[in-house]
Amino acid sequence: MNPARIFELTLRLLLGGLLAYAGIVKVADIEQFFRDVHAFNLTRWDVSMILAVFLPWLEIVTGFALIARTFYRGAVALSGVMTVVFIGAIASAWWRGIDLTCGCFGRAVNQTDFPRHLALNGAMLAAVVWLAWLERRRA
Amino acid sequence: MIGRIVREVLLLCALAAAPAAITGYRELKLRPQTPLASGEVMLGDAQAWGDKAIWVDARPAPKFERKHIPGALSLNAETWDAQVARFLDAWDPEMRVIVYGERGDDAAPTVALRLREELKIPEVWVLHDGLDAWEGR
Repeated sequence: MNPARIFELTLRLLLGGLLAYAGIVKVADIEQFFRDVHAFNLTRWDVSMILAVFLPWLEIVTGFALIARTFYRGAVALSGVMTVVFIGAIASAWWRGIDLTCGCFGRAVNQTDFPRHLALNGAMLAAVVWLAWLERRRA
Repeated sequence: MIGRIVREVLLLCALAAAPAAITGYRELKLRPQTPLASGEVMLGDAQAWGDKAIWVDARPAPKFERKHIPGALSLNAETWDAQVARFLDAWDPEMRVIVYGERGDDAAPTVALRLREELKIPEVWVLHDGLDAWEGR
């Protein structure tokens, strides 16, 4: 296996693992995640509730799909969409001066450091774009 | 290729929807609900009133400073005289008033009663389960 393939594998496992981990810690405390989602003041409470129960499972399913390389293109696309939405939500909260816990990693992270979260999500997005580009080149 | 991606995205969403539905059912349907008292309104109904309603936080000022529903005004029994003028400036006779406290306390019903009796405002409602409902507890 050449170094480029090893790097791709590492990136895929890291991205999948990160998404799955983020989903699992949220599922462990859905009520808290609902409060975190609602604190963004972007959605009605019923929409926040739907997001709070659906999003963690979508992260878990997408994460494991990336790791297992099953439904891979769909998983890469979903990772990209979710990352863009996360970046938008975090940037919007930062812009509006909302003091919140983003809930990105459940209770594992209690205080939102906006620049750090944006940097992490930006790195994830870059990884997704690169994986998508590799996949497209192979097609 | 686009068609395949869309199919896979939909499939992954469906795979996530199944456990999410079970989680949602467990979180929403099995949670014990306290009955609605007279003059109370559920959060969803209150939110549907949109800008035709004004929100009043009946909890003590320090709690209000720490956290409150966005746009809410502080008006509580302890500092009523100092705060009521500001409330009247913001209130419009066409507006409903939604008063909230915390689940189980009597701050919101007390303030709601004073709004009805002293200020003669007819459309005063108490948010069922107060700020706890807003926070999804």
